[in-house]
Amino acid sequence: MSAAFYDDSSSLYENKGVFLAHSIALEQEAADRLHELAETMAVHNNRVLYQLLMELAAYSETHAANIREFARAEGRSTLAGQGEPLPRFKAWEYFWPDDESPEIFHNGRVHYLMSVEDALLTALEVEQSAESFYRNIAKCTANPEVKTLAEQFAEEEQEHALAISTRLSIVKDAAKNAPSKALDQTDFDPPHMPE
Amino acid sequence: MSSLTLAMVGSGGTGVVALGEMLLWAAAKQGLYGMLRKTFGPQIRGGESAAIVRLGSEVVANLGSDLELLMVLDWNNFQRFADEIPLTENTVLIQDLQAGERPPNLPEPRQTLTLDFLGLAKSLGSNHSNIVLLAYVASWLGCQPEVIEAAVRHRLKAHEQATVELAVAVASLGLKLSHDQTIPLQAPLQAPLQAVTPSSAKTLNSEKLWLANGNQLIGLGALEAGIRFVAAYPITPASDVLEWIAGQIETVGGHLVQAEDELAAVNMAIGAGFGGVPAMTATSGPGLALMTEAMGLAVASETPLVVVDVMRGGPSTGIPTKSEQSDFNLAVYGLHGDAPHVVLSALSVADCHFTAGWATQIASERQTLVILLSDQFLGQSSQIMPPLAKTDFSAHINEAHINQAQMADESPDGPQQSRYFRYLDTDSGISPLALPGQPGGMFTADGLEHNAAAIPSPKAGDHQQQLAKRLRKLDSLVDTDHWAELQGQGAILLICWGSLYQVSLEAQAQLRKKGIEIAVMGVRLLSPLPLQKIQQAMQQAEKTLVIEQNQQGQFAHYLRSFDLQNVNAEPFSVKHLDFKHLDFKQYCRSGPTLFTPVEIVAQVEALIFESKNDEGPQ
Amino acid sequence: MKAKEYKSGIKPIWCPGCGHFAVLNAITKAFAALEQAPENAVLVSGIGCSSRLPAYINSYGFHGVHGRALPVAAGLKVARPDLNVIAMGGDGDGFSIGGNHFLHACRRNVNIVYVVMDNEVYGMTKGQASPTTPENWEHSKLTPHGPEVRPFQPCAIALAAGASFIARGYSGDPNGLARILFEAVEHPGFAFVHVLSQCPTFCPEQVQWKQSVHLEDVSTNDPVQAAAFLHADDGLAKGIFYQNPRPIWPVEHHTTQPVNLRKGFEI
Repeated sequence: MSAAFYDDSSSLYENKGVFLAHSIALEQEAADRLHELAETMAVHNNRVLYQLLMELAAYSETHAANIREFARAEGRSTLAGQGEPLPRFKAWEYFWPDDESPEIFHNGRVHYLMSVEDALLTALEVEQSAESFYRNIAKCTANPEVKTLAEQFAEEEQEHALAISTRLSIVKDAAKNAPSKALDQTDFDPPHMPE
Repeated sequence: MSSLTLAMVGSGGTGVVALGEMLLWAAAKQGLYGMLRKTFGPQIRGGESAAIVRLGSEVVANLGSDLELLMVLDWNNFQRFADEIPLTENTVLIQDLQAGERPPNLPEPRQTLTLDFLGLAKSLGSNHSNIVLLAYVASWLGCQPEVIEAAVRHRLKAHEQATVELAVAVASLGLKLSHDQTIPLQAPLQAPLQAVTPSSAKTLNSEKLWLANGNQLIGLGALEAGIRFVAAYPITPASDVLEWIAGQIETVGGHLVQAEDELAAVNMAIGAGFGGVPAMTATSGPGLALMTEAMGLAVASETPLVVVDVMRGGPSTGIPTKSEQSDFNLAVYGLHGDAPHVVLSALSVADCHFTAGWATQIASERQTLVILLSDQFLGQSSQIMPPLAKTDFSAHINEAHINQAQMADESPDGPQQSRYFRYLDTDSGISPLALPGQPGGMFTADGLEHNAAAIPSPKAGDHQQQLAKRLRKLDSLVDTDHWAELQGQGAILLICWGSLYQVSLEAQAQLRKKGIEIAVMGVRLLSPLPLQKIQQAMQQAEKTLVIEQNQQGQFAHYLRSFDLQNVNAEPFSVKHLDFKHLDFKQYCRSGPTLFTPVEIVAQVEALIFESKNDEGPQ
Repeated sequence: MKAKEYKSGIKPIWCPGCGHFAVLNAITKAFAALEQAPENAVLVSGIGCSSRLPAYINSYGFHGVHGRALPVAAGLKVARPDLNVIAMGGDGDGFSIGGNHFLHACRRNVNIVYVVMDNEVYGMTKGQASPTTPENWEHSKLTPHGPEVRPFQPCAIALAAGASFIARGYSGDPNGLARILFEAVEHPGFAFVHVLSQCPTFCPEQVQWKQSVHLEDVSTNDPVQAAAFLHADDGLAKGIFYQNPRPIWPVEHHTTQPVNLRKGFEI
């Protein structure tokens, strides 16, 4: 079933298959972006951020896998020939509220010397954005199955946000107790000329 | 060789070049051999122009030294060509009644014949004194009237019937004139004329003779060897290569693109070559200079590419319409970085065909850049020749072996998985080449230094490995027999390249008549240079003379740069080295005047004289 | 194949936050939607940060010299019409050193896609002004007063030069860019895709694009309407602006008979 069939964003609210396809994409895109960023940080020798982003990527990967497993248990699969397949969307056919999927780590916030605190702040934002995506669906849908699932996913996102929030305050406290409160952000490595 | 050389000069639409073309065509129809060189003033139309035709009963591959007959329809601006048309006291002059004043300071001709060619043409309402002159001279040469008429009809075949018929009528007046006013056969003309009278021409076999110039034959050689993509940017004197190909390439399933500039032309050819379609571009000095950056890309990315340089007078815009061998340095040394590539030179008009085929094959089999040097003389001189044999050259890419280059990539920046190693370091230096469309061969060709897996790498080890590989893959080229043409043996070895080879052969023949035997080497493979073979030939002669048509002796400097006397050139067939033999003299001068056999003979004789003096009277 | 599987696995050298990552992802997404066989696609680039992209895609690639991606791509496509050829590079590569090729590629209408990742700066050489840099941008040592030259207008110039498909994408919207690329590949003829691709290192102010970029899917086939739109454009519109297929080059002249190449030399 091609996505062109769902030419209206209401299908996201009313069709369980469409909803699940979006939920999987939301987590998978988040995971892919975090992987990409982590590797980029590794290339730029920011090992701390690499570790953190890989960790976050692994969570998203797990969540995507969980939803896939759920869909499979429902008799749906992205693999051909296993029950009623999930609808397939081209990248631009998803009904996201913004240009990109709600849980994606914004590239605009990224810098090669990005701190753990900055990264956690962004991670928190995107978890909250995902939560409100699901809350909005739960609020608007007339499909009870979708409503239940959306509420469940929203709860999960809230838990993730909480976990990140906790971690963020630990990092902030550590910074407070550090000998110098205002870290000098001067970059002694200006850009250079590779070609 | 006995031959007859005629020059015809005119301006403002007198059609002397057409006259030369018709004369050559008629001579070919009569079974003669010959060669036509055209030379022009800077105007697009109506300027002064000249044609030089040399005829003989055997293949004529250079213009010789002497001018037997000068035909002048118009003296206007003759001085422009005075260098190229060396009048001597033996030259017979035929001039039109209305040709104007003969310029001062010219040698007095042996004999002058002033005839009213233009008046005859006008009597029939035509301006075409060139046709009258054609018929007059061709008839004197012994061409049959039907052949002369056919030459006129052939030349004018694109014109309206009335034009053609008028021209034929005008020609008949020239024929008639030749009976009334024959050119007296004085001594300087007699022997040459006898040499070229059709009765002395060899009986032809059933094959028709060819009339071709070097530019066309480069096109033929390239297409026959498999070139199927050509990118073109117009430049004198290379445009005819491109135009000839443009008219043919679609019939063999290829394409020619007219590019926006030379930078685009060479890069388009690289793109096609990367796609596995044998590709070429042709240009002259200024264009070659523009192409040098991308030629380095072909070397680094190991993309097959043939670049033809039809050399003209330089530097800068220089003398676009005339010949010189002064792009040698640019062709051999012009690329930035250590960029081993192949430079070939075509040794005659006919050899343009052979060498273009060879260039095409080398580019494909070695996955590299081949620069083919021709020059304006070879490129734009038309020659009558026996049909050329097809060569065995072909642009063949062996794409079957990429499986041998699949291996694990362990570089830290790489994908850590098995992949195709495009730039695998093989014994031959040639790596299995995958072409787009081939599964399992995906790679990114790169001008950035890369490792064997085609991943960009600035590492010293990768740089050294890839540099060595690209150098090594050309090594075995020097083993080929095609590297040079070597004729004769003697105390003197004459080394030349490009268009000087045929002139040197004639000098060799003239020296033989004087009892002097020399060896002549025309080097076809200029880079990499088969050094041992050159040393071996030098060793077998007492003295070596290197000649070339550029001011600074570019090839001689190059040859000297190898330090011939100290480089170990094992294995030698001679018992022991005589280092003295490995030195050489050079004779070089700029264009645009062509080298003549007489000029080379004089240089060889001077060298012999010098040797005798060296030995001393003690 | 999934979008991810179109990545080669070679790790990009781009700065974290670079807009070119979005272009990379958009290409993989477009390829997934096109069900592109990796061996039949060739990405051709010049020199610059963005020109590193071909190596990061699991297809054939050609990373050439500065400014010459378009001729390489055109030569390849004419020689091998069976391949999906995408040329790419940056604003300096495409509009400055390669400007002449840009004009003639638009005219020639060979069936290729040209993606220019425009960050209004030379990144590889440390942040000099490019043809699209604002007149008053004073952050380069090379032009301390700013370039003081009117910026190049890529889309308007492409239209004037004869491009038959003109669109603009934004690195903050990789999905929208994937759609544009999909349509560009499907378009018969030369398709120009201008991408606003932020440079976090030399032009961090470009983060603000997120607030200003606006969708304008004009998608007209009328050059007059397209010209009016492009001349009024603030440079931050995204979408497909112009789509007007015309005969592609080379025009195939079917030569029925193989000709004897040698015949013409016979007298």
